[in-house]
Amino acid sequence: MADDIEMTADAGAVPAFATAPVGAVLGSTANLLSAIGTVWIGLMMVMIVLDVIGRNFLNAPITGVAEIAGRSVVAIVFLQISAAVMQGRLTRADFLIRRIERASPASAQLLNALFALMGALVFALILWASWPNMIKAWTTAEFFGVQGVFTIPTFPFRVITVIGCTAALLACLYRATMTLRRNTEAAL
Amino acid sequence: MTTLAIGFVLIALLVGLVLLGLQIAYALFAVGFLGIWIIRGNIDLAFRMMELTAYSGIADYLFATIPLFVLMGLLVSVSNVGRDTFEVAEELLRRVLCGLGVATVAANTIFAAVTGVSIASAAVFTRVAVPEMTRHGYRPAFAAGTVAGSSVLGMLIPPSLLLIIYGVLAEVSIGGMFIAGLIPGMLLAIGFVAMLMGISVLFPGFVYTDPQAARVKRLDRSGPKMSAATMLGKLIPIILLVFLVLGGLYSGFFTPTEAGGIGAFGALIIALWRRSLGGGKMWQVMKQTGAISVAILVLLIAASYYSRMLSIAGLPNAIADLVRAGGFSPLGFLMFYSVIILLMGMILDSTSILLIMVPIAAPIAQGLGIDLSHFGIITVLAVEIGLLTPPFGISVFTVHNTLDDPNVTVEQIFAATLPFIGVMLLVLLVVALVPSTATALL
Repeated sequence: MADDIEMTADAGAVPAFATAPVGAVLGSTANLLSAIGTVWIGLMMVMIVLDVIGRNFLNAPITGVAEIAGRSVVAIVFLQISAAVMQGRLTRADFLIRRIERASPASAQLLNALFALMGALVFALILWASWPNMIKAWTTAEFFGVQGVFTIPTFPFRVITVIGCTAALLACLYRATMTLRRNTEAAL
Repeated sequence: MTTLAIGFVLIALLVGLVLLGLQIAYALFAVGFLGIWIIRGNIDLAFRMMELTAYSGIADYLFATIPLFVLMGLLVSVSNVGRDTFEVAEELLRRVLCGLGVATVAANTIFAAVTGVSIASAAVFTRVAVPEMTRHGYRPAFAAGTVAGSSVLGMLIPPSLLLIIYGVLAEVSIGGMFIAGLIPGMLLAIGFVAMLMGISVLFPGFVYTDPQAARVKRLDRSGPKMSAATMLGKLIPIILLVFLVLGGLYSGFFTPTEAGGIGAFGALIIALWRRSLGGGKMWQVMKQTGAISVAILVLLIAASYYSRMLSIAGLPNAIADLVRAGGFSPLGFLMFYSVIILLMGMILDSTSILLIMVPIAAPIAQGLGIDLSHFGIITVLAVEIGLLTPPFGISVFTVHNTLDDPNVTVEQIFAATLPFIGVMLLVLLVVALVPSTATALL
């Protein structure tokens, strides 16, 4: 029936716990976070549709849809980023590295490990920058929206950023060590 | 070193890292951080801006359009809407010169109005159109090239992800970009059709395996006919969807985000009605939506951090001054800019090119008095040509991978897309010379 488009094979396969405990835990965590993000996209669609129907036909708009959807986009990104890192799905130009790999697989692996560490550094920076604001959001009960109309605490959203960054940071480190280990094994 | 010089060194560093294969989001973040830190001599500022970008950079209703339009595109792709459109186009155009090629372009044009992703169109039509064209005596490589070539329509005919991304980066209304894309999109489709017909007359060997047999088949009037009712039945879902999304958008009834939400919901209903979501397909579609959107959204966060760095360095203004001092006319600048984008298109994917170039180039264009919607259409056209040029012609690779036929090599498909690239260059030239092609409907 629906063979119009090929779904890419599930690249989210998690290694068995017995062979790679760290990879298994990290992989499942990333997949769980990403699944929450996936469901969230569906909920966002439903919310927008209900708002359009409610406003135009029932004269009952949902307050704050625009603000909530905007915040949701950020949450979805940080929920899914660690899975994207784990599965190496972040966009990159691979035409040069593929050539390097053909000439010298070891140096390509080394570059890949360095790149993963670079990613770890970036996520560490974001994490470092975001942490204080998460604490502040909790202590000051920071909210977004319009006071008296609708208010939503920002704390959960800031927590998602922090959790997502932490998972992505760990995923980067994991990939870096895996790449390096494979490299030394190959050299032996 | 002046701020400006530092800025240029940083851009060079960014390009170098990206070429080497560093993930583009990492490269944009790292270079942005380094830049703000060095230029302002203040690492705290770099941190503060990073937090601000990560938390609020894309926290806007507008950005919800991206996952919604991706979801809509994937849902219509699994529900066989593309195949039905092609079948009807085939039935109607069978007797036209190079009929199946024209049918592919026509079906792609209509399908483009419900999907914003070229790759989705390329995958769908490889399955549907290539076997049918081969069966009717077309050269398989030509058929594959036709699919790859016409799939770029998806990025120009609204709703298109590239137009959304450009609108976000250049701070132009996305609804406006969608309107600006209409005439150039039509020009492109008409150009493709004219080119296909011309080639099949002048170089039949390039098109058909056996020109004589194909001619006989074309003129053969026997064979099963599709009734008008069947045709209508096949077309109704896509017509309704186009009407809902584009109609709602152009009448101003929906904002782009609402159009995306309603479109995705409409596509969901079509897919459910056709029972194409069984066996875990729904979850796969959702997962893929997440994967595609997140890859783009992460890039957008990183790019907005990088463009903050650029404006701190005062780079856009400085380059604009240089360009003015260099005596570039607006047209000269457009040509120069298109050439750079075409070159980048050979090594980078389309979103990344937009992210790197638009923050630098849009202020210059504005300074030269070029309308930003017009500029956006030129940008997207030039970027799209990159989807077809080696070695990073991603549409061509999609078609090649989906086709999975050892007799059709990537090189052959690249060769078959050359006429399409020619038409696109011509349309690019026309749009550059006649700004009203983009701005007339605004």
